[in-house]
Amino acid sequence: MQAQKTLREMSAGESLRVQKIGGKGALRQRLLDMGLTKGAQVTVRKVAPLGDPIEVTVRSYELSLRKAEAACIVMA
Amino acid sequence: MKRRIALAGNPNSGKTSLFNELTGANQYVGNWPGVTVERKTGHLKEHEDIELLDLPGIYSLSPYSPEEVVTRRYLLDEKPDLVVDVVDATNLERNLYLTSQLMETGLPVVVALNMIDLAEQKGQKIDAQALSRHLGCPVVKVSALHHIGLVDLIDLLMEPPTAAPTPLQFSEVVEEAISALRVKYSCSRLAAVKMLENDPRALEGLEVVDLHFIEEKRLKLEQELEDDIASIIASGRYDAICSFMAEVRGTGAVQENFSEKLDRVLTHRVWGLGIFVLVMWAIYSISIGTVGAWGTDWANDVLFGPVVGGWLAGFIGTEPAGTEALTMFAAVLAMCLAFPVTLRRLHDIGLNGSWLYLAIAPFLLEYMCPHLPEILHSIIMGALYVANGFMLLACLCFHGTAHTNQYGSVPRRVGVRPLKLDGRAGRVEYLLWLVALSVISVGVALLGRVGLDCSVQLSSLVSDGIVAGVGAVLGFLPQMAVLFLLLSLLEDCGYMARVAFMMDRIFRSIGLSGKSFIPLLVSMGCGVPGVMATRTIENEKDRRMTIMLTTFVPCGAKLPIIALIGAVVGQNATIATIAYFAGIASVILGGLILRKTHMFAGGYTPFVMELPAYHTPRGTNINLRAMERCKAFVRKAGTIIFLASAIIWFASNYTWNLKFLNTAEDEAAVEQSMLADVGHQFAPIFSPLGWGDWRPAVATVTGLVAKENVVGTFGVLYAGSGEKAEEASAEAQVSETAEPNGEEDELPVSATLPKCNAMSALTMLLLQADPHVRAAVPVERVDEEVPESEGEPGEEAQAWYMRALSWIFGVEEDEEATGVAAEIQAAGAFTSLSALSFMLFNLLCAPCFAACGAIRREMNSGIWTWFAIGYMCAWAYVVALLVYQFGTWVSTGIFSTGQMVACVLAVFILSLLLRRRASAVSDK
Repeated sequence: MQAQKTLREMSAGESLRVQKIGGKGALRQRLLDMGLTKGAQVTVRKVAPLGDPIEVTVRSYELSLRKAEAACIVMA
Repeated sequence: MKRRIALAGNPNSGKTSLFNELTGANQYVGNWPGVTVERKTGHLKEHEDIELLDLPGIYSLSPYSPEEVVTRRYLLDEKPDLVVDVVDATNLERNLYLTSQLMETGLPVVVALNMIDLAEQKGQKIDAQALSRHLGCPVVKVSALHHIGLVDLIDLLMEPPTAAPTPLQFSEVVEEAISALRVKYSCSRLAAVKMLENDPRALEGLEVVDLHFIEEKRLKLEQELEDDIASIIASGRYDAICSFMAEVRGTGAVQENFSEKLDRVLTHRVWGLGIFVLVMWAIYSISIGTVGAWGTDWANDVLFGPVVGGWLAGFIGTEPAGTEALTMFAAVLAMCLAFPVTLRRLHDIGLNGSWLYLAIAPFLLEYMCPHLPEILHSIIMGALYVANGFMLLACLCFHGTAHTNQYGSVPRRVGVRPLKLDGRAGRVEYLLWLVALSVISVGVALLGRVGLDCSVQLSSLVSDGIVAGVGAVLGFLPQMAVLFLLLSLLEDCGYMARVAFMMDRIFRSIGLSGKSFIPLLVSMGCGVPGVMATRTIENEKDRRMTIMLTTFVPCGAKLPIIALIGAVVGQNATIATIAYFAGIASVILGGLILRKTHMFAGGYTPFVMELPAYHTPRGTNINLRAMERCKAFVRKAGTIIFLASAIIWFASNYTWNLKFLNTAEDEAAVEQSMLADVGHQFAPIFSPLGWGDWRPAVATVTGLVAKENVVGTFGVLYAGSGEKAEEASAEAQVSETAEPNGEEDELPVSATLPKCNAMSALTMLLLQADPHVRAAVPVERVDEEVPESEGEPGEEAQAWYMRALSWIFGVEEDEEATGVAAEIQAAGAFTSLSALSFMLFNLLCAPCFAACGAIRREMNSGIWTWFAIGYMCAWAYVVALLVYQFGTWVSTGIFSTGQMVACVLAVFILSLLLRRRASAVSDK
């Protein structure tokens, strides 16, 4: 079985669907509220000039999140 | 009956634009109780009986952010008659997620599809009727920016409230659980969903049995759907929205629009940072350098100098006021007084408030192009005056919409307050107020002719205490107004979010987020707007921490202190560099230390932030935002600073027996004042820092009113040292060492400390010996002329460095500082080390009263304010102590109690820095 890939490990231009949202409490609720729910298509757009955070497109808008937060999102 | 309509929606969905469009920008800013979240209320344009409320932007009604909690409480407790859900049409799915929650509140909802023009530009065809059918509530396409569909929306708002829409359905199992809860507790759908979601607020006050029942339902759901509840509910909402999305939005190909192209350049991995530096430099140079500086120069040199000062002098009778000054005073006063009513009148005739910039255009022209050919100058001036005349004429002639519209007459709110900014002014009202305010202005100006023969005490209080204090602070207003305008512009067009995006990496490492960058940058100009700029930081802990750290950055008012100490030590460039590094290091170390305390620990702050599409900035929004911030600043100057100036004046002009000293005439008399006595009491506290004299202690206290005061106070307190300077200069020439003239209360180690730079000391002494030389050298030339006359290579290099610094930071050696520095050197009160420790303490300790006031306002809590101020003072004390004690140790080799204490403190700070993060106090 292939190892689970997180949003953090995706490179710019890659596009995958969300399988599971990790994390807890406020962070998790925020991610869900922002539309990162199971099955949502996420495209990584770019990485900030200093390497973190990243910018992704989800539900046709741009969202920025840190790599640490992106690591909670399991993609498939 | 008054109807209340609430505007709700995601941040950046254009709620405020729509609000301003609907209300005619008649707004009032208030605070929600408990949280610093702004809520604006206004009245619907042409229908003054309908009250509109602009709620804070939220993404969801979850219990995690204060904005969301407050909004939910408002919607459920105060039950507005209608909720207008402002939806960003370019971003339907995520915006409808909030809509799905709003529909559950049981309140009637109207959906306004804002920015519809942008969506259509992007190639999306949105079927509003299909959306309305699926949501079960009215949907209107609008664009606040391009005035599309506003009439339809207003018509809809006028109609009697419709019934609440039927909420979107979850999957069957979830619906079952929800209806089971609703039946058992006979509560609203929203409450049932929240109970299921394990929301502490929904579960408040329930019995243990009930909690078990809900828990059981929740676990059953989680087992059946193999997911946890938060995810089930969020996914359920998004799934319900997606089910009709295809029908609503069509499948038009989405083209890459301008915003994306622009973004590709502005946040490019390489150029992005360069562009960012350029933008920041431009903002800084426009607001602090050119335009802002003209305004401030004018305010300080003209307005508070001959004009207000002259009028006051005439009023209290110290010297008669000239006609020119009085005319100008009347004109300025009339313009200030008539500003609000003119703005309301402009809104009434449908003009943008930005037209008022025409009124200050002639002034700007004078400063911007001082060497314009005579003819061109008079032509442009003439044109500007004619334009202003036309504007006035338009205000006086055109009918407005304040009292009548196509529906008939509008119930009037009687407005007798000419200075209020909200509401609108009719033709007659405007004319009346204009005449009345002009008469008042002229009348007040004529008071300058009265020449009251009041006592010296009163005139001293007014001119030295209040005008000096309040004037010094209000003098910053032009710079701040320009800065606020530019920052609002960046915020409005969407670049600010990118700044946070690019800077986050740096600030996260010290426990802050990218959003803290702007306050720190602004604080280089002035701490007050810097503290106010923290408002854009949503996370409360981050905001508080940024407020506590932001005033460490040396602001414009601290530059004279830096220049002064630079002149005393004779190493301008080094001192300036140390000052800036100390500020930045304090921010970094402070961040690291505070993040590890219990107060700021835990509660990891997510940086999940929407990057909004760029859009053309709106003049009205920018003006309003800038005006609000300016208003808050002026209010502060009028209250806290007014009082503080009066108190400091009182303390420095009276003895404990309340005998008046008249320091204006006899400057040395200040030594007998209460302030000096207090200084004596406090001086021992500062002796471990190397400056246990009462005078620096007093200067530190007066620095609290405004940091520039430190230099001024030194000027007064060391004024007697002028004669000693000449003796010192004679001595210096003999021994070729500018040895400080030892005073009795000076520390014994000073004799063996490194001497002041002999060359620069000589320069100072030369300047000091001949005041005419000093007077002849214009302020900005000082740093150029001095090295030339000495002609030493090292000095020249230093001068270059200094000039570079002054270009970057605006550090300028000013004449006053140089003169005072010579007197201080002559008095020998400071060694290089104690001067350095004095500077560090004054740069890092509590900021001026204006900034303290801003901190109080933004913290919204007395305890936090005092904690912030206490922290700053303690930090400043420790830094100054370490520098002085270790410096003495290194230079003399003496290790005594002082050094021991310093070692202990250093270890303590290191342990604070290196210890593990404290666990969160309340981790949900």
